[in-house]
Amino acid sequence: MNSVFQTLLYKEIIDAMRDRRALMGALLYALFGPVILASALNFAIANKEDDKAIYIDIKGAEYAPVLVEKLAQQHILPLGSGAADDEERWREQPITLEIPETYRANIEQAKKVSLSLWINTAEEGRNSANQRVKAALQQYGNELATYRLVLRGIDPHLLAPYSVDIKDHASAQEKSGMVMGMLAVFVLMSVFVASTSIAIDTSAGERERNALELILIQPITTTQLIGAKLIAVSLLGSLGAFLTLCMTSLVMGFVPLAKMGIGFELNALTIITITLAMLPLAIFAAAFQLFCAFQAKSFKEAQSYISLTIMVPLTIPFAVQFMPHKPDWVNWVPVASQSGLIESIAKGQEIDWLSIGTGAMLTLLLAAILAGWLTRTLKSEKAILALS
Amino acid sequence: MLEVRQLTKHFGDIKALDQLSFRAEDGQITGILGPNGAGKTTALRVLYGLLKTETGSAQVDDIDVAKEPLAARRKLGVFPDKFGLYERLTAFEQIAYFAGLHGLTGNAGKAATQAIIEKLSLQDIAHRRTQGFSQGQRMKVVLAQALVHQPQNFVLDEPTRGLDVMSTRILRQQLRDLRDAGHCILFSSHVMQEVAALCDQVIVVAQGRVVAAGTPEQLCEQTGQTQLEEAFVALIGSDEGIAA
Repeated sequence: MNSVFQTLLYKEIIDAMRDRRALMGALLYALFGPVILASALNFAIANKEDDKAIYIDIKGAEYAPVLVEKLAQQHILPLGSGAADDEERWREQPITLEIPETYRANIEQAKKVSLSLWINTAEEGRNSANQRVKAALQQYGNELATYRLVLRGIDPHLLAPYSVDIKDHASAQEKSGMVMGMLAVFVLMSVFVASTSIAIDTSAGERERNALELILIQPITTTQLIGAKLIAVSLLGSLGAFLTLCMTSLVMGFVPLAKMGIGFELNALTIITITLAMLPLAIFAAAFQLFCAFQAKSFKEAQSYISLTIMVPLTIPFAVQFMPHKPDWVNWVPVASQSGLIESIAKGQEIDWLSIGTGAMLTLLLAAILAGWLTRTLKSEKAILALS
Repeated sequence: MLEVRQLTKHFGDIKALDQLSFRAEDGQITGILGPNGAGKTTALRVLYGLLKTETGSAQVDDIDVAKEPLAARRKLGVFPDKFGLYERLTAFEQIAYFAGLHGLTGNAGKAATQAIIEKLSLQDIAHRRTQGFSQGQRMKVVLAQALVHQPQNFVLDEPTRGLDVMSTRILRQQLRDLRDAGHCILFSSHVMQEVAALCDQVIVVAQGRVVAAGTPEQLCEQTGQTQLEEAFVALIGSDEGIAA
């Protein structure tokens, strides 16, 4: 590294590190992601607790006291029987069970009874409650059927030629898939978010403050200048990812993940590995953001372009998720490659180093193409004339 | 020594430079005077190696700018028309940054920075961040960063635009001192008084062409006018775009 490049790099880093607004932005984001993740998980865990009472509206409860009792054994209680506070969230659009007047007579004569259960499947938060009510009804139905068969001298096992015992061989760590998916998105986002402010400031901002032309007429090459800016911006991106990971590690300690059967651990080695794996992506993000910001005519225009670049880490993993068949090359795509790596590391799965390496190389190659293109643009007459 | 020969440059249909040639000698202050849009900034950008021309060449101390732009720039100090300071750097860091860009790093850079700070009496603000500096303080920092590598040639683009009287006086004195030390000083301006007050040589540019060159006295003689102002008007053909 020659002394001119060192000078450029030193100034870019000092300038970035003293930009309090940009640093605060990066820091806030690093805090924000994990906290959101943790509270979402806490909420999910609170909802998942099976022994918590569900209150439903039972119409015609007086026709089927045994059924009501069986539901109560499963903590499914009629509205109005519990404390007002506990019932509150079940009162609005309640899950409603309708028992017909003919229930008792039909049951006694072993005739078919029609029960109606009113649920709202669009309401995501009630899905597990809906399932529990359905399962409880099904269970009591099976119980009745068994009694009827036994009374008629028939072995009830005849109705079940085999039983299936499902054994999940996913480890507790692998079950953390959803958490890991979310974490991957937050880490990828942090790489892009942490560097935006500084990317705009060092490009469109420097031009708007009339500092760029003076630098371009110093005895330096445009390649050196862009190289220094690229390194400084990508350092901030990596710092963002690192902080997000540290915060996640810290915050997850407060989430009782074991209750969900999820084993999650983010130790120092994992944090360092993921941060290192994010380096090519940070360089790509920096090149992409600098490229967009330099194309813009003003600081404001640069801001709106750059906010679009933040969509990249969101859309690519999303698109990959919805691909029906994943061809091999998908694992090499920038962002998708890194996202896959975070998930593999965090789930404790074996890592496909070949595709990770190819992904990293491809990411760096794209960054180099963007940086090269940017260097050319900056030398062009159009760029020089736009300086003043 | 700075020299451009036969520069021609079009931007679309507009002829920005039309066979423009001039020479600025060592030990002299040479002024380029011309109305706004005459091609002054374009000519300077060719001299810095930022723009390429269709014909002609630019030279800094016998170095062809088009062939060796970096070598040419090492012999140039530039004082821009707008002071783009890095507001999060201190004055010292800002000046040392420019020293570093000219290859003066480490102790050499520090020594050069310290020397120019003392020369321009910037000691009291040297370790303050440039944010909030007055126009005069900014001017001094920009002057220091342009001179920190002791360039043989010093180019100023509209140097006194927006400067107060005190800052202008300091700047003019610096230019005279540099001239007396044998440096080559070239500055562009559309302010006539400034050119008349400072320059040993005046180059009058209009529509991308040199319309006259010489000492202020020679220009008066050439146009048959006694007042410099009248001479300029006679040379350019109108007083549009020239400030008295």
